[in-house]
Amino acid sequence: MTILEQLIKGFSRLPGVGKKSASRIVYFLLKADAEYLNSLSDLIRRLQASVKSCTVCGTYTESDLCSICSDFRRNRELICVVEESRDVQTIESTGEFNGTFHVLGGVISPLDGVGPEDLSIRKLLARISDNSGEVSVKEVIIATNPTIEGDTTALYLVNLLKNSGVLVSRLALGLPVGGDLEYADKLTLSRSLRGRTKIS
Amino acid sequence: MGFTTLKTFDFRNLKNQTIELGNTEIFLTGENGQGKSNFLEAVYILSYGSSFRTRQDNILIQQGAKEMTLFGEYSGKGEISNSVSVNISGKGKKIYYNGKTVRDRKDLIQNIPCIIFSHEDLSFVNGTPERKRWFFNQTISLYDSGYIDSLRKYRKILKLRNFEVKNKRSDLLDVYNNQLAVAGIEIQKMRSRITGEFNKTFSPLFRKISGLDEELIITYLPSWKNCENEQSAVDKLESKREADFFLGSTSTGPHRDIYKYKLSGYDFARIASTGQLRLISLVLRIAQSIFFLKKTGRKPLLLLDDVLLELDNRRRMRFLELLPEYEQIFFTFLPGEHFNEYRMEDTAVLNVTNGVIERI
Repeated sequence: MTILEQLIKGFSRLPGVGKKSASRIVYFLLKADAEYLNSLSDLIRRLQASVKSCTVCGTYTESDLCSICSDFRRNRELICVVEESRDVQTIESTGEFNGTFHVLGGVISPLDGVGPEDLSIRKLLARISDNSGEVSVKEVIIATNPTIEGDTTALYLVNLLKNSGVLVSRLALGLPVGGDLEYADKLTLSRSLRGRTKIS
Repeated sequence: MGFTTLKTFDFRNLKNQTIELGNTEIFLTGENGQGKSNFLEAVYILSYGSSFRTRQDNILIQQGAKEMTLFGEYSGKGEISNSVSVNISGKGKKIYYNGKTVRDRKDLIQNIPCIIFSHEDLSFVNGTPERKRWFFNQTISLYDSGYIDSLRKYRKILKLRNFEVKNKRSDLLDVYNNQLAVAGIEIQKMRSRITGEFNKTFSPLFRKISGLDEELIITYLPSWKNCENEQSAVDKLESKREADFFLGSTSTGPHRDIYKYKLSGYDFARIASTGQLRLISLVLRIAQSIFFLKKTGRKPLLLLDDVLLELDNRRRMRFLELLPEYEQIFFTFLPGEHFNEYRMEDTAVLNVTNGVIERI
C-alpha cells in the first residue's frame, strides 16, 4: 500500500470522516507547506503524552489541575456533572456558569459493559464529602444528556446523593431557545409540556 | 384516491411490472399461489416499510435475485401525488418518501395509513397476550407517533433491567425501576383510556354484525393492577424483586398486560365458536379503521386478504354494508367467486396469474 493509500485509510477512521473526505484531506496535506505539516505532526505526536485528565474534575488539561479547578474565582459550591470532557467546553462557551465541573467519562450502559464503577463517581462523592477545604459543595447540577442512559446515570447519582445534604438539580429539558415550535419533534414538545413553568 | 401506480422489481413471485391502479376499489382474482397476497403485501410494505407476514426482509427478495424494490405513487383525495419506494438488499433496507430517505418507519405510517384484514387477525382474539397487545399498540400508533416513542423507550429500559436481573446485580435496579415505572405508567394510562374509547366503536358494531343481544366489551387488565401513579408501579416492581431475580426477567409491567373480550362478564373468546371468533377479528379491524378516521379525519387504505371467503352469504353482505370509509380498498377473490356481485362504482378487476397482474 502506498503512503497516500495508507493515509487515506488512516484518516477515514476519524469520526465524521468518510473515504472521500479522507482523500481530500490527504491531497490537501500533500500540497501544504512544510512548516504547517511539521507543526501539525508534532502536535499530534505530543497529544497523548501532554494531555491528561485533571486530578480533581477529570477534564482534559496539560497540567495536574485544569484551568477551571485552579481558578480561585470559580464558585466551588457548585459542581456541574457532565458525561464527557467536551461537554465542559460546551457549557464553558456559554459564559453563564461560574461553578466547577466533574467529568464522569461516560454514562451507565450495562449492555455496552459500562457500569457505575467504570465512571468517575467515587471521585465525585469524595469531592462532595471532603470537608477539609474551606468551601463545601452546596449544589450538584447534573448535565447528562436526555437519553435513557443519561437519565439512568442522573437517577443513579440522585439516589447516591439523597442523604448527602447537597442540593441536586438537573438541566431543564424542553424547547431550544430561538427555535420554532413548528420544528420541534413530538417527543421534545411533550417533554416541554410536562416540564412547563409558571410565569404568573 | 390511494395508490395510482405500483411497480415491482424482483419482489416475491411477482414479475417485474408496472401496475396502473387509480381506482377506488381493486379486486384481485386468481388461483391460490399466483401472487394475490404478495401484491397486497407489496402495498402494505409501501405503507409501513415492513411486511405483515414476515420479519425476515431477505425472503421478500425473489429467488436468484440480489435485491428487490417496490415503488408506488400515492395521493390522498385532492392531494398532490407522493412517491414512496422500498429497496431491500444484502446491505439492508432503504425507504424513500418523495425521494428523501425515511430514517424512521413511524414517519411513513403517518403518511400512508393502511389497515389489513387477514387470517392472522384471529390471533388478536384467541392468540397470545402479546398478539392482542400488538393489535391495540397498532391502533394507537396509527395516529399517535408519540405512543411509538413511549413503547420504544419502555422496551429499551426493560431490556436494561432484564440484563441486570439476569446477571443478579442490584445496584442499578432502583434506578431502572424508577425509569420503567415512568415509561410504563404512561403506556398504561394511554391503553386504559383508548380501550374505553375503542369500545364505543367496537361494541355496537359487533352487536350489529353478530346479531347477539348482549354487548361484547374489550377489557384491559394492566399487569400493574391498581397502580395509578409511578410510585405505586415502583412498589409493585420492588415487591417482585426476588421473583424477578429467580426468573431472570421482569415479571410485571405493560409488557405483561392482558386484553379480554367479555360478554356479560364471561371471557367470550373461550366459549365462542370459530365463526364468532373470526367475526370478532373482522370487527376489530373495521373498528380500527373507523377509530382511525375519528381520530384523524383521514380515511385509511384497506387490504382484505381472502376475508369474504370465510363468511356465509348473509354475514358477507352485512360485513360489506358496514365497511368503514376508505381511501382505497383491495379485495382478493378466487376465480369461482361471484365478485361481480360486489362491484361498486369505481371498481377495477385485476387478474393474477403466475406473478403477472393484468386488468380484465
